[in-house]
Amino acid sequence: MQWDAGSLDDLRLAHLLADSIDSEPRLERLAPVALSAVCFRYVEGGGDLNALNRAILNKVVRRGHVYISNAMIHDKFALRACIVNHHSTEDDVRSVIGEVLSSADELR
Amino acid sequence: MRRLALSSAIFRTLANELSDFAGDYLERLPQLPSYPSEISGQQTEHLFGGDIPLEGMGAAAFDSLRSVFEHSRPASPRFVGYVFGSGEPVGALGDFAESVLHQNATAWRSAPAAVTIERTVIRWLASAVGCREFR
Repeated sequence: MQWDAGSLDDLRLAHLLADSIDSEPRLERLAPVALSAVCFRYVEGGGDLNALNRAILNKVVRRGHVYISNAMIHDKFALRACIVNHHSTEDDVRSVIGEVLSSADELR
Repeated sequence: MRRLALSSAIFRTLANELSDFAGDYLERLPQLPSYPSEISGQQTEHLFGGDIPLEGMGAAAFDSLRSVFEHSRPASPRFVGYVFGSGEPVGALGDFAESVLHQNATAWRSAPAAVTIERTVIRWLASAVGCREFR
């Protein structure tokens, strides 16, 4: 694979993740996906969403299937997936959503 | 021999062992958990927070290498946390060769090949982002 093809594939996967988030009512995307970063949060149930999503992040990381990070966007705690790894596959990226939802279920 | 220096024979032995260790790790990397299980700050402090060794350790400096790897967050295909370099194995080999050369790349007289290579790579990168006139 050429390096530019690898970069374009990362951008494709970032948009794939954004589309999957947009079609999942328990999740809310918090920023446009201009490049590789996809920022979103879990919103079902309301309450202190910043505290909930901070706990979800910790749970997702500790479950050991995917590693994501976080960002603050207009005082909202965002879960952040940054797709820059040319070894990442569609399944790897889709598993971010499954892991976030499963982690939220464990916390609820 | 000074106590801090490794003999050529020990260097070769260690380099071969590390090469095999790295090859095994890279083969397992896609299947590894994306985070070490049950890891804690107390645990890593206990493992890696010891006092400064006042005597040269020789090959024993690598005794904890397996533990270091086991208590690290792998650069897995399921790592989507931050922007990072490709982590391609060939890059690790390049780092190894670069460390053996150990250049001060501040001036051409100090590092003739490295300074030229650095300018070449910058030209390549500039070209890749559309600055083809960079020299």
